[in-house]
Amino acid sequence: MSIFKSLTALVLVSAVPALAPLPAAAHHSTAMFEWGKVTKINGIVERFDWTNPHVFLFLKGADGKRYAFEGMSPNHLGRHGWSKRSVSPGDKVAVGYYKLKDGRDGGFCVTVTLPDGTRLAQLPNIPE
Amino acid sequence: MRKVLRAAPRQRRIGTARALCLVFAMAGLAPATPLHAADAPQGRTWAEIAALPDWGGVWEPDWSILYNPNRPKPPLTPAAEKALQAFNAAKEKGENLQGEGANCVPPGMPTIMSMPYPIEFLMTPGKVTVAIETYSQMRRIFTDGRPLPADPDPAFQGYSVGKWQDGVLTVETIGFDPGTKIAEGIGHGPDMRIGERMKLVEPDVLEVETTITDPVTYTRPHVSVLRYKRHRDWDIREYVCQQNNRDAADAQGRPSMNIEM
Repeated sequence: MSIFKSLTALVLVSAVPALAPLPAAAHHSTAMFEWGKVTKINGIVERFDWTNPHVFLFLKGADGKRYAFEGMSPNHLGRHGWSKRSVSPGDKVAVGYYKLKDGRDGGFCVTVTLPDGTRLAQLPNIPE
Repeated sequence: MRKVLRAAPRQRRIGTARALCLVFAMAGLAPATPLHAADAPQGRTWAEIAALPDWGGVWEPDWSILYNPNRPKPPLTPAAEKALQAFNAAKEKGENLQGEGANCVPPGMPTIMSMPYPIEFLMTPGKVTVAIETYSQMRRIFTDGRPLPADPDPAFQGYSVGKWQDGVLTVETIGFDPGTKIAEGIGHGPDMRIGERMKLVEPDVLEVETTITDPVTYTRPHVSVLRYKRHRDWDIREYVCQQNNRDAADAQGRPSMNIEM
């Protein structure tokens, strides 16, 4: 529950406009993604890189293809309920993401929903 | 060399004790009126540092200010406006969508002060060091009374001197690397100066008012304000951008993302 509490608090305190090109801009722009338009996919986690400047999640999709998802940094996520153990290889998850505009399989991960229903969000104000 | 390094902390403690004795001895003679800038504690000794405001903890920038799309636009000169328009026009061709940040090059001043991750103030005699989490950067603000150098080597953070007065740290910075940007598509001239006033506005809110003066780029000095929230239970974390950077940009600023596992 702490993730929801902390994110709710963050949204209330900061009033960040929904879907603004948030701090991916620290490192690079969000121009390569369909920013703000959530696509969903189910799959099995192949690898989770807890690295800077971005975490990366590799997923074997239910369609048999591999997807690569960039996320925020461990610096942000570690302060908002995530850890390097939040997702592990073999986990069945649902991922909400902003697609890569170039059509390749991947994008910017915005939410990960675990089998027990826990929903981890990368940014404040991510709609369901 | 080792001997010197071992001796240093001992010397520091002795120096601190002497300074403290001096402060206590002078306490009875403290003036009733506010100190003049020249007399105000400047953090030049450990004892003087104890008299400065407590800026301990880690300071998180206010994202609602950082990502406010309605932040005041800077007053660009015609030449700077033209350069910005050309920069933005290239975006239509898929260029300039990424800056050098995508290649892990830190932005330098003033942008480094408005990164999303927190900063920390370290006070040692004669110097305030700002530890900046994003890109693992440092700024050094000399408060030992030295003047700004006449012809500093260009640096991403520039060269900063500061003065304390009534709890406010006033900083002047010059000498910037010619390649850094004030903002996306906005460069700067060789004589840019950045003034900052840093102060607590609430017990756990630090405000930094930044004034940029650059006749090449701005028609008048441009002032912006950012606030930071204190987190006493946070630590500055490591941020090595090259650790797993999959977003390198090409020379024209075209985006990429390496999706190979």
